[in-house]
Amino acid sequence: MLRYIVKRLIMLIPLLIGISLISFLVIHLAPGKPTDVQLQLNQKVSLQVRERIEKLYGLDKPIIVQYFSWLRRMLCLDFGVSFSDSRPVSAKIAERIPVTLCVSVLSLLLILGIAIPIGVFSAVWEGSFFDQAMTVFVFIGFAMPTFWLALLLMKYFGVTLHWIPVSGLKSIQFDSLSIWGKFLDLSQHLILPILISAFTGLAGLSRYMRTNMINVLQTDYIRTARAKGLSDKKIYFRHAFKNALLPIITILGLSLPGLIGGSVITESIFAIPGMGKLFYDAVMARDYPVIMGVLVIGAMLTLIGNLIADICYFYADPRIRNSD
Amino acid sequence: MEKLLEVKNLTTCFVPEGREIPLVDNVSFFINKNSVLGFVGESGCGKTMTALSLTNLLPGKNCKIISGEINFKHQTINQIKEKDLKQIRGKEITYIFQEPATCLNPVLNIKEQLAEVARLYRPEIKPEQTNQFLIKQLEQVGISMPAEKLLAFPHQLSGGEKQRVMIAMSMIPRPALLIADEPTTALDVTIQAQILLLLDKLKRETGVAILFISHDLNVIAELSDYIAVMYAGQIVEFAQAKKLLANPRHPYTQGLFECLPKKEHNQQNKLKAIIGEVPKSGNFPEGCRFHPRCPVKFDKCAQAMPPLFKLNPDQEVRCWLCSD
Repeated sequence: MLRYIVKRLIMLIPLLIGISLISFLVIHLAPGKPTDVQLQLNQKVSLQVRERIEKLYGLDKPIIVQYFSWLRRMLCLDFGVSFSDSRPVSAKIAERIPVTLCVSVLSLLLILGIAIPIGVFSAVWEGSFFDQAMTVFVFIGFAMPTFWLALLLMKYFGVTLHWIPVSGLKSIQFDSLSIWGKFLDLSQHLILPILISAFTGLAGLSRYMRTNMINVLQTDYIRTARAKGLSDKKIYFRHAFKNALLPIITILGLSLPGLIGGSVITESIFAIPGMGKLFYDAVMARDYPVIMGVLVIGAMLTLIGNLIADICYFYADPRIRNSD
Repeated sequence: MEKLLEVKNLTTCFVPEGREIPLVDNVSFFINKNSVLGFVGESGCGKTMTALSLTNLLPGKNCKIISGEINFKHQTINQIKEKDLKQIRGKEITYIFQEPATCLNPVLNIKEQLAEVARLYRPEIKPEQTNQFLIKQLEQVGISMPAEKLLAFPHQLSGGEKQRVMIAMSMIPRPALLIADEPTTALDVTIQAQILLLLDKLKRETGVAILFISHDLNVIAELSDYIAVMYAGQIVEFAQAKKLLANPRHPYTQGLFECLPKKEHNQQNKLKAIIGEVPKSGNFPEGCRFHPRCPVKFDKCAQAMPPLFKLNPDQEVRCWLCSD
């Protein structure tokens, strides 16, 4: 097992290099430069000033040279300094991660808690009213534009009813509140973003779970379980559920980067200072070090998520566990 | 001989969107206590569907018993509630299926899959004795190192061992009728013979009756007291095994015998085959369903379906040639 993990980790290296090369090139191919904000809007800036500033950031060198100098710093885990406010990229990312993680873990838990039962019971009662109603329900969530739903709910609950604050993460008086007050304040701010991202994310997992469960219910071993005269509860939950749940591990592994990457749309609309907002602002300002930092972390997490999923399979699925 | 199971005019249909496509068409047969009835016929002739109909194990909502009576131990079991049927399915009537590889649940170990049957139908076995009991059961079906195999997962066993586990599982409730649906088809010839011997031994030792389904007339001949030959959803010949083997009367049964490889087959004396294919359900020919492939057909065969003619108390044949 340990050998397997080490082997997989070594295989990650070429993948990471490839991913970083492609994302580096793509970002630089995009029109616009990080110096645009400082220079282009100002008519008085001379060519010399422009060249001096580009030289300061190392933008005058060929892209491939820029890539390798970036890669060299990466190997020392140095993500560089943000072009826009000169703070270290790692510090900027570190302060954003807890916020995003909080929102996305809570909404993922909510999705799992709702989508898995929906999927299972839709499969068990395939074609019933429940199944059809749930299909409509999850696809409304899937098809609804997040920003539109968010604005509607903000308008209704925030502006009309005054139940919850409209945006941000904390109230102005946050620091003066008791611990319980702080918790309450945070949950008031976060409830809407969490509910909305859970609602819009239900479809994928619940449909996936439904399909898995339907497939499992048609297998020979479920026929065996029925032939044994077991109760429906035992057939569905002891014999079918675990088999149908196994492929979900992959989905969870793949959702790891999303957990940290956050949602650009939700975070922008609710003005939540998370990773999604950081990335969006960085792209808008062509802040290459921040963009690359977020992308590389995302890529690493995707790969690690895959690895973790495979390790989880190893423990969950006896066929893989005993194969070596 | 006392009849254990008597099936009268059983018709099972595939019913997609209001249409009725017969899979099992007006089938009648009986099984005596502690005897073996062999069901023989080509793939797709309705043998398995007949077997699954007996305890309503039909796959999906689109397969339904349309008419007929299934009498088991003085009860018409196709007219009782599912709740009461569960007292019979898995306890009085148990199954072994064709593919041992897919019939055991891959994520539960052998012990869990056997123990749930023991818990359900053998309440006299105390929890602390279960292990001992299950090891003994595995021993009885000829599994070597039963204590270790008990803790194994299905994929760690060979095909023969898996089928032995299935047999052990089906014998734990001490059933009156064991339905073996092509139990040896997926196994090597040597293992096949062992499994047949095992079933024969269990029959003698426990007094169980067996409905043995196979497309292999050799296998059927070895084990059966009675034989039913199925073709296109119907029984075309039903007779005591001795009589049928000595004097097969239906042209299809005769054809099956001629298809068996014998020692005297050589270059000059080639192995025969029944030309043509089994007609598909819903697409059966007019008149006798076998007539397009029959070597001795005459005009009447294409016009009217022959009934089952009773030649003597122990042999019935569905052929116009036997009408007088």
